[in-house]
Amino acid sequence: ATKENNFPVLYGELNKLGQNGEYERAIKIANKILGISQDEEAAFHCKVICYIQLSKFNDALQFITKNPKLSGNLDFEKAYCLYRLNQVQDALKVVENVSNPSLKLKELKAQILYRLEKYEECFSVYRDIIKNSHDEYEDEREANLAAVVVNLAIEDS
Amino acid sequence: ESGVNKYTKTKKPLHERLHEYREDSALLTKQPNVYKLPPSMQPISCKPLFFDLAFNMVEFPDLSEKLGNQTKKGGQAGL
Repeated sequence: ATKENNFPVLYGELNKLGQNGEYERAIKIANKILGISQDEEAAFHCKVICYIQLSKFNDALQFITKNPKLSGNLDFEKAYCLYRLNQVQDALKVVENVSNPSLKLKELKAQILYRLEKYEECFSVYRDIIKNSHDEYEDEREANLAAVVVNLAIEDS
Repeated sequence: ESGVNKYTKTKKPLHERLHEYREDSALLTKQPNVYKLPPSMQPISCKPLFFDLAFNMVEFPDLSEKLGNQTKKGGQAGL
């Protein structure tokens, strides 16, 4: 029980390493926390993020599928790994199973639909996102929308 | 008529004149003119730019609750 008193300190360190992009070291801290308590969902989540940031998509995916109890909220991360591992069809299944998807899940869904060349559906997802998002990526998002429009035009010609 | 063409020398490679019959002894040599290599350049439409914006959203969850009193300003004690 005394060990768990360290959690605020460990999480503080984890938080800082995450902000500084030191993901190798962050994994070690996350492991420390998970070593003390296996059910620390936040540490688990952080570890998955670290793997993805380090482009270890296979590791992240396996880690998620092996711990279904802790990964109930990690649909976005799971689908993103599948997307990067070129299992795009499976990625779409994960995304479509989520009721009430967050904005970032919609963003990923749009990219998945683009890769699957479902441009009509992709277009409407982007319209929805662009209407409802206010972030620093609006230019890039419009570039993506333009790419969708180009492909729709090619399909029609 | 058609026989006239039979032996006409041509510079066209074989693959461009597959529809016409012509005896071309040059094809039996060691340098038959079958296809122009490397093929000439042709314009194609470019692949549009497409950004992976989802990656920018791969970030740590909010850990503030886990940090306990460390970073919180006072006033929440006792809750």
